[in-house]
Formats: sequence, structure tokens, C-alpha cells
Amino acid sequence: MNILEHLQPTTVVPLHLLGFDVSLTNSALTGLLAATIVVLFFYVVSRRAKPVPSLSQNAAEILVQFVRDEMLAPLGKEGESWLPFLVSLFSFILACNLLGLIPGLLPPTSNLNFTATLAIIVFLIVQTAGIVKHGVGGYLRAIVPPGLPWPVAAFLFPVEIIGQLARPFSLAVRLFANMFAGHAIILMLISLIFIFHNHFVIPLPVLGNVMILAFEIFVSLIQAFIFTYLSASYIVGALQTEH
Amino acid sequence: MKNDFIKAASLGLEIAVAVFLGAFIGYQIDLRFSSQPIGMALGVLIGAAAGLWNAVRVGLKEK
Repeated sequence: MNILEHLQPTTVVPLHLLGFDVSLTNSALTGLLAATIVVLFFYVVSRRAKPVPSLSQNAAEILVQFVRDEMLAPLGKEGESWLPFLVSLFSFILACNLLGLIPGLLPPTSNLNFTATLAIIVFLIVQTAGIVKHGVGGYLRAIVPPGLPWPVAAFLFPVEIIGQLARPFSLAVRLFANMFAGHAIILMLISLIFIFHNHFVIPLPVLGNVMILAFEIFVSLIQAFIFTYLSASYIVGALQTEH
Repeated sequence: MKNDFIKAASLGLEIAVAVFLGAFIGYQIDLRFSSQPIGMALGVLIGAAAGLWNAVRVGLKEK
């Protein structure tokens, strides 16, 4: 039996729509739960906002301030409009990652389809923001600057297109690989008990799992931060590019 | 910026992904037009150039 099968999503609620299988999997349900938690958290915090902040209000304010000062600083006032998107992205990915550490819940971020969807959303937003800010002409001039000899322009065009397409791929693969690897290591350590059939082996997977799980909390935070930070830097790049 | 190292650390994967993407697109072109191995060779070259160009651009911006 392949132990990594445990990291594959399993259907919880079978659902077919227009001939497509849109069944709810345990991974999708964890994603929905994460989204609900994030929405409820920010709704409650914003409703109960006070001049002297509570612990939860403090956490939300630190998060918003961090995204504004660290990620969107180059955009100045213009960056304010991107705050809701980036804060939501960070909170959602973090909630998904952390919920995945609870036994029985499969993190949606350990599924490439999910991370690819997030990366495609970021990619489309970045491209749209660039086109809206600089117009179609300015957008095309950023891909191939005018005045270049045609052989250089012909080479530069596919280079620029692949360079742009590589970004969502790397975003999706990075988040997926990091989250999947952590859970795969945990499963492999547990499987040592069944492979060796020996009581003396038990302390190794137990202690190893405690360490890996503690490390996974750190990885969850770092990966949510990296995804958001890179998305923000792509947005800043698209808005600032001189066309 | 304090977080420049994150951009730098992400470049490695971006270069690798660009090379693989170029190779994949070239391979698909080869399959469609039976032009082996020109499509894949060109795809790898363009992918590598795209990855390196991304890295150089980030480096120039952070300079």
C-alpha cells in the first residue's frame, strides 16, 4: 500500500453538476472551514474595534500594518487598495496550513490543484492590474520595448512570456511542495512502526513527529508569508513598471 | 528592504520552473509538428533565458 495515498483528498459529499464531478472532498471542506474562520475572525474584530485594542484586535492590526509597511511600502497611498486582498490571502493560506496540522483534517495547500488556483488568481490580478494601470499599449511595450531590432524583439517576446508564466508555477509548486513534504515526513515516520514491528522503534517516530509538527507550525507561517510577499512584489512590479 | 532574501531565495525555483516550462512547451511543439529535437532544445534555451532574465531584473531593481 502506498502511504502517500493518505494525503490524497477523499470524497465526503458526492456532487455532480452539469456532468462535472464537483464533489466536496475533505481537503475542500478544510478550505471552506479556513475561509469561514478568517471571515468570522475579521468580522468580529472589526465589529468590536475599540480605541484600546483587545488581543484579537491587536493581532489583526499588526497583520494589516505588517502587510502595508513591509509589502506595499513602495506603492505609498496607492498600496492601500491592495491591503484587503493581500491580508485575506495571507490569513486564508495561514488558516489552511494550520488547520491541516489537526489530525483528521487534510490541508488544502498540500494539493497542487488548490495552490495552482491561488497562483492563477494572483497571476490574473497582476496582469489585469498592469493593463488597467498602463493600458494595453503600455503593457505590450513592457514586454517588448520599442526600438529594438526585430531579431532581438522576436527572441525577447517568448522569453518575457515564459518569464511571466514561470511566476504562478513557482508560487503554486513552492507552497504545495512545502506543505506536502511536511505531511509526507510525518506519515513516513509513523509508518516506521508498522515496517519494523518492533517496540524499540516507537520513540523515534513519536519524538520525530513532535519535532516535525512544531517545525510545521513555523513552515505554515513562513509559507503563507512567502506566498503573500511574492504576490505583493509582483503587484508592485506590475504597477511600477516604466512603460 | 528587510525581506530581500525572500526574493533572492525564490529565484532558484523560478529559474528551474522557467527551464521546465520552456522544455514542456518545446516538447509539445515537437509532438505537434514532428520537429524533434529542435522545439525542446529551443524551449530549454528560451526557458533558461527567461529564468535568468527574471533573476537579473530582480537584482537590478534591488541594486
